[in-house]
Amino acid sequence: MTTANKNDQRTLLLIIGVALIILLSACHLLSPGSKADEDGSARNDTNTVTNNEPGSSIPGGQAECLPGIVVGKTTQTEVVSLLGEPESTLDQSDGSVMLYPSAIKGQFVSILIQNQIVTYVSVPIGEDDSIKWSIIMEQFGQPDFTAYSQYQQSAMTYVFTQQGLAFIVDESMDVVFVKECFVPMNLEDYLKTWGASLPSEDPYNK
Amino acid sequence: MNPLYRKRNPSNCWYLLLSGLLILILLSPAAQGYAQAQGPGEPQQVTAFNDDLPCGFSETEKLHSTLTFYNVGAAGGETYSQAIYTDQTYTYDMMNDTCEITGTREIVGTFSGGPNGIITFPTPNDFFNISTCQVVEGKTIDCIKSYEDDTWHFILTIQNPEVFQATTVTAEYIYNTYGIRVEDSVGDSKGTAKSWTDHELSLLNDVLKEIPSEFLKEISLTRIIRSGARIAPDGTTKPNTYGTYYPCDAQTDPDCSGASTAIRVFDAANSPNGYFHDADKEFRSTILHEIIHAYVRHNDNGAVYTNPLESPRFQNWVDATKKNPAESDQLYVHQNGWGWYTPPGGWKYFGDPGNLPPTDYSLTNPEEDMAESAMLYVYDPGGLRAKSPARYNYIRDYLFGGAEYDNGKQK
Repeated sequence: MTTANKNDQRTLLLIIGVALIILLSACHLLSPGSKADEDGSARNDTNTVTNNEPGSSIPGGQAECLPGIVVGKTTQTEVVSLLGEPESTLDQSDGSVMLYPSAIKGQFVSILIQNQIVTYVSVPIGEDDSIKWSIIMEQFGQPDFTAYSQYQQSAMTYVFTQQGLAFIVDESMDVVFVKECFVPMNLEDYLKTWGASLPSEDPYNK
Repeated sequence: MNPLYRKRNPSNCWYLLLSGLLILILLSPAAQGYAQAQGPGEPQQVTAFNDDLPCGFSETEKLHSTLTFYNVGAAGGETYSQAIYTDQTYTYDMMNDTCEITGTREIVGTFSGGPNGIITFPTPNDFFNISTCQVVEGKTIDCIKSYEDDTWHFILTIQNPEVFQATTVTAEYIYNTYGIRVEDSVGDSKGTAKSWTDHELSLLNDVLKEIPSEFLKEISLTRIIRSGARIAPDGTTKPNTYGTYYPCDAQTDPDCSGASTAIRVFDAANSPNGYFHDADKEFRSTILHEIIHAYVRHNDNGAVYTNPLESPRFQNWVDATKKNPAESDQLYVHQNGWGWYTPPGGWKYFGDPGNLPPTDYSLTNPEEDMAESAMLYVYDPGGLRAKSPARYNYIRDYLFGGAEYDNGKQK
């Protein structure tokens, strides 16, 4: 009888264990951003500007790439009040790019200002705050547009035009190198604007 | 029908048999893509001698000396790096012109490896110092003895020169000598199927044996795979890709520990249509180019940098190739060397006209600049020196520990 009881207990424990695993898996599937939220808490110290929330909150349908900065809404003055004076500002024909140090030495968080408004944000992601591409895919599904990237060999640019998000990614390593935000738009408009400069052929052959 | 006596279906039986065979085939080493070892390849001991060394000023008495070491030397790992020089000690009676052998002594040094490798002895080691010995074409050894400011040479003859003349370099030889696995591709998501030829294995060995052994310890590379054509992440076949370095395969190595690091060499590398217009040189230089990527990604903690931009070696290169290296800031906005400009997202280089990236392809990004520059450093050093002396000096001093090259061979 004792043996039978022990066997019953083991079976019960096994059933409970399996049920727990199923429940945990289900919970994980239902909240795909949870892992990223753990790993990707925003950091903003005196030297660097980062934001590692892979999904980002999307207030008013506009992507928020950096804490407090909403593309299409935030003004240049507001950027300065939030992040301080930029390390440098680069004037371009289509606007000016405010540059802030990032988690990676020599790389910069770039904020494009057009008509005093933020229209594009690019954030290099350091290894310490790495974002897994598979997590992004779980959250957003298949991208609307895919292009090669000049960033490095095997890197691709994946774009979610409706969410106003682009990611430079190495899929085989499951790593996101750069996260970019722009005003959400349809694919046709994206291809006429930001997408027009992305390489259609792989720039790397060795 | 009683299920226990259900009639066997012959087609199911064949299906099961074929499935079993398929599993066996898939589990076999050949299907795993391992190039089969063939012929010689094990590190072998070399013995050299000289029976004609003078004993004092005696005209008749001669001394015997030997050198023993492994043919692969330090390039094959620390186990094979030791070289032992043995000769005889003596007393010489000048009055009677007689020489008496009193014993033997050993001096232990280090052999770099290969048929033109160098043996280095710690000095001082004797009244007459033996500092270095140079193996010459795997046949003789030219040693230098010195006393105060005087130096003189003596030659040892290698008794078994055949150990340096292995006609077939095998995958096993490469693994035993350099610790890098060589594999054929059976076709997968990264490349089409292809096998190494004996000639290509020999070219691979040509590259590896000329790289300083200290440098080889500083790369993240476990496998070199021969593939037909590259398959890009979007699934398209890229027949014009020469080679690729893969720092990590997240499916098999989610922590990017370095265990899945691999180079793939594609058919395009084996053609005379590239920079050198010489198929063999193109093949060798492509391998070296990819090895430089393996150097950039190496992390001292044993893992790899998934993003090369975080590698200090990458960052040092970006600093070294600035138009004005004296500028301490990192701001590429001053148009000082390499910078990533976004939007739209692309690399640009602003440099000194006397120190430019040396090939068209090296303008792709700073890491390619480094790989191409190192490639030229070995296979076209004059060309690199002319286009960018700063790059030449940096690679000599910081990558290859002072070693310089002439057409792919260490000087």
